[in-house]
Amino acid sequence: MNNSINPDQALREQLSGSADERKLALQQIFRSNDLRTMTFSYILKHGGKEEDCRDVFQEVFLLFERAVREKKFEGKSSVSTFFIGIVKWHWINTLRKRGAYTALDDRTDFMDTSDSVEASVIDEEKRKLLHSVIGQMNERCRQLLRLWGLSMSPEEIAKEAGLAGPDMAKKETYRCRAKLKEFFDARPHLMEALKN
Amino acid sequence: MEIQDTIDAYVRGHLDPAEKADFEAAFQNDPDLVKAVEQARLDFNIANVLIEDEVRGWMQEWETETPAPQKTIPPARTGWKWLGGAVLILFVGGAVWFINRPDSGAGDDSFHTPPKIVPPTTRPIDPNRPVVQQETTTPTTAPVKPELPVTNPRYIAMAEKEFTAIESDSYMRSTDPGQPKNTLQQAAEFIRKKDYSDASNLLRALSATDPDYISAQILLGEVYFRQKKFAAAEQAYTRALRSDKVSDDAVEWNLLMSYLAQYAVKKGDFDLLLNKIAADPDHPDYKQALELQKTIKK
Repeated sequence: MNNSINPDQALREQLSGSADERKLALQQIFRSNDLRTMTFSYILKHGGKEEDCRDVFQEVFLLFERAVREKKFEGKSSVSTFFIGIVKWHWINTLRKRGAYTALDDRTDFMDTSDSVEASVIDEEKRKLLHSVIGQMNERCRQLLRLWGLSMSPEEIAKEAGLAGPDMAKKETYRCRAKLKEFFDARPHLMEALKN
Repeated sequence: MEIQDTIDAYVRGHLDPAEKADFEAAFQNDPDLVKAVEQARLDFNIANVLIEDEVRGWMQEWETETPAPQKTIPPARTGWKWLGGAVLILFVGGAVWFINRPDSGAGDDSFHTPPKIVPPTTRPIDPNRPVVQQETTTPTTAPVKPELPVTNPRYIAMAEKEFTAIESDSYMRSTDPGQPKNTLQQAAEFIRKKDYSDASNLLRALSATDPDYISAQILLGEVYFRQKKFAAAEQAYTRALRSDKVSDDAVEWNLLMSYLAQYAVKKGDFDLLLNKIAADPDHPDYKQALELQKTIKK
């Protein structure tokens, strides 16, 4: 069985393709033996325990997914190099939070990666607040906003959400965002707390 | 709508440098535009959290199907530094295979395992060994396959009957109607309404550094159990047990039920944990464990 991941260009195309293509590409990356082995080895070699490995891999996978989606992975390095760069950055931050950080000798390996990923991290407090807002949204609006967040065109959103056409998709998405605006207008303190 | 498209493109970072500079110059003196940009940023952050929740859900599914990397052989192209590890993994994997191989003698000597380590004739044959495990000992050089879901209605019924659904109820009781609900309380409310999908989306979003992470894992275990995703429930309870912030007693019983629901493949783990609880008269589930020992033998 070939466990190697796609050539990078093809992978990026898949990730920005249809919902099914994107899910398949992500699954392939998630199940890549290479990435898992590299991640687990790095964590174990740098003071981590076995139980850290899976958590770090999953958190890094999420950061990687977002970085690719936001075009922050430009293909200057291979997928595995970019991924392990995030692993290193994430693990140093984890050690710092635990008060156990000691300078690692290969920091320069991931300087570029960390610059592109750091801005994407939503801190825990804000994430909780955002979830409380999401809890107020109906399932339809959650779906439409998720698809909009994936940069899908109105045509693609209409197809994925089973709407009559792109105009309807645009209108419905706009309506959901207008509801969110109303929600925040009524809660200026929440808006303030969530500002970047 | 055109200005909204430009705002969205700006927030997503899709404007080219010249467009970006023009746009930023425009909104310097336009408070309404500044507010619209802030709102678009929030919309985008909410969309990102929704996407992340969806991906977390997929990861939970894929994780149960993905073998641990220690059982796999990294391809040679990963470089020389992996070669030592690969040789070690091959050696250990070969030894494990050799110990578990059938007595046919149709072994594969590519692992170079010295036969003297475990002579095939010394391997004890467990008469209670589940059929599924016997099937997986077929000699093969293929990569380790994901565990097949093996269910038995009798054990699932027993597990569901004995499962203790205390966590969501206790979170609901702690909800003060005058206060905004936190993530755990929102999730507990979803569980009460049997909206397990929304509950798991919320719970999975809490990262391992969150103070509520352990409680979230316990609730997540309950969600998965009710969805009959027993392997995922087992993982969630195991993650909760790794912490010293929670009493093992409170989690062990439901972990035991997760093993019971997968009895054919988790008999060993089930027996170990059941015996542990049944040997501890101070354990809150001691009597239940003794009863279960009798029932399971029937």
